[in-house]
Amino acid sequence: MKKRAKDINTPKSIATPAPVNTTALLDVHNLTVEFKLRAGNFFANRNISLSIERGKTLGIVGESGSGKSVFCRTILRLLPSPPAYIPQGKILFNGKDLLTYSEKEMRYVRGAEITMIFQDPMSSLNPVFNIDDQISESLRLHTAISAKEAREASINLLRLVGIPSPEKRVDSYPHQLSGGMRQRVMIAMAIASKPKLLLADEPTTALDVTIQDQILALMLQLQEQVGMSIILVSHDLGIVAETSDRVAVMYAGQVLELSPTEAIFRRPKHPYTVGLLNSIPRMSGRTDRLLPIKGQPPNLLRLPVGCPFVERCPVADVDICTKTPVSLKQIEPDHATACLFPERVHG
Amino acid sequence: MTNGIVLETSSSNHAVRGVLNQISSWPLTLKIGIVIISIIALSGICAPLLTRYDPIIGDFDDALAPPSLEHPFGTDSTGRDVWSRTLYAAQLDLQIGLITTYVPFAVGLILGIIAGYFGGWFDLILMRLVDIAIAFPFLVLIIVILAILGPGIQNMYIAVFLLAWTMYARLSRAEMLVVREQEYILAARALGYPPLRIIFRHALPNVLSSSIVFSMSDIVLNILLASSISFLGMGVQPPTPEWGAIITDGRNFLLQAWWITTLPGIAIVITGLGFSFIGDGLARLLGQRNIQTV
Repeated sequence: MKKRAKDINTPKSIATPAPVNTTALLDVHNLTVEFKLRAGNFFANRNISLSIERGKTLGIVGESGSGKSVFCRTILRLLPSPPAYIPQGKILFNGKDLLTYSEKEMRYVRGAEITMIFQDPMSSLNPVFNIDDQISESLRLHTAISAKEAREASINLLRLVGIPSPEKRVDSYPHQLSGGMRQRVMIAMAIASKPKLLLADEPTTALDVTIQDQILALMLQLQEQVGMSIILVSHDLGIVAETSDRVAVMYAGQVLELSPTEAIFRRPKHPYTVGLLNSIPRMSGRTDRLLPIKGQPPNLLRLPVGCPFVERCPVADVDICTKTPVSLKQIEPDHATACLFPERVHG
Repeated sequence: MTNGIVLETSSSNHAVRGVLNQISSWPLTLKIGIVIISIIALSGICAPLLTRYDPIIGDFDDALAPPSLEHPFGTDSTGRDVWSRTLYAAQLDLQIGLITTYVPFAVGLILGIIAGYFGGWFDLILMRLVDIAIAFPFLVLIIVILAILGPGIQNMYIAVFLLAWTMYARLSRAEMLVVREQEYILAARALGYPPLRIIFRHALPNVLSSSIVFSMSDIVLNILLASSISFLGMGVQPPTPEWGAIITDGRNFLLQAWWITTLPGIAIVITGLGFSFIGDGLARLLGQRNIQTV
């Protein structure tokens, strides 16, 4: 356990990444994730294709069950193999396909090149260790430094993420910190190794609104300092609008629309996106009723062959839309939609 | 309002006071149990100081004497001072209790958490072994093994070690099944920590509580087991003092010399109570909801 990543010969496969001819840091092609359960098999992710550039933020929006978290976990290969299987797809990180990496190679990637923060700060920290132990451990696992140096580094990290009196806080236990502070600690642990990509899986959902704001601002600030890309997963359109350069809208395991933030919000090209935007409660204009999307989320065990949104879609052509499988198609230089009739969609 | 004088407490004082504060907030049963067991343990350790009589060689002239100032617990059939024997036996019984409990504890814990974390064939095989072990009454199996191996404390240890780890394996595996789904374990995996580190450093401290609480009752049961085995003549051999052995000796004289059997018996009861209190107190302290106490 005392071996450090530096002391071990890193497998050649990741020590010298292949030359890339795109600027994309992460390039996902046709990723499909299947869950085989006793109740049946279903695709949690179906043909996901998207990419993210260095230093940019990609927001992934979708309701619960749309497959956003599964996607993040698949990037880090955290899903156990029964029941999750990856029948097809490529996840190119710096040009190398993560799906071909062995478990050992993935462990070099996790926490160092790609890190993840989770939704519930209450349970993301081990209750039996203090903050110093937890941050120092991740530091010392990836770099050869002494306990004292790690403690200093931990204090600096806490200061960086905006925790007051870090020298005192570093000896606290998680139960002695508030939710916002715990999430800051999680962020500190995640950026400690200056990762290239941060996966943030609903990092502010469990926090109250004022803290939410601070955490997001912190993440963007750190992004600039560290130069990392962020994939921000949320069901909150507001958060995504504020922080992302590009947005992917997911539904029932598929990406239905993918474009820069402005385009998604001003000129959405998918009825689901329009539905989401319309359902946002407003303070002015019509304030007596909410406008939900008609219908229920689909049963993933029995998805129709065609568009998963067809039963709830106000502009669908039922014959065509139920039978034709959908996938993202570029309709404008940087705007892709999976809708078969984007011209019928008015934002 | 002080007149400007600030008393600087040294940091070691702070630490001591911090610890004392924590201890004083422990549940009452825990504190009582610790006191009881400490008294018994100390008595055992300080036995030579608390009695001048030899526990093994007795004065035949003074056999079967009732409790008196000279012999607080009376004497047995060969004139040995029962108080002295009880004290010296305390050492042995506590030692037996701790070894027969914590060696299987360690083995069962390690096997259980590995099985719980990884699952697969290791888990399957381990659980089948556990099933076999718990299918039979524990005492019967111990006696069978001792009948094969022969009497004596060493063989009793072997017999217990062969069987008792299964309880701890089951308990710790069950806890591990819950803990491994916790988000901090997922976070640890997401940070690239290797599985053994996750199991032994991150998961283990969170898996311990139910095993520790259970071990308290187990100590009591094991002391009783040792006493029963000695009672049957298959454990501790005479003239070594052990509570069960003393009780056996006194059986034949129950009507004439009740003190030989009864008073060491009370010692067992008090020890058992002490450990049960500790178990109960620990359960409260550790916030257990599903505990099995004796």
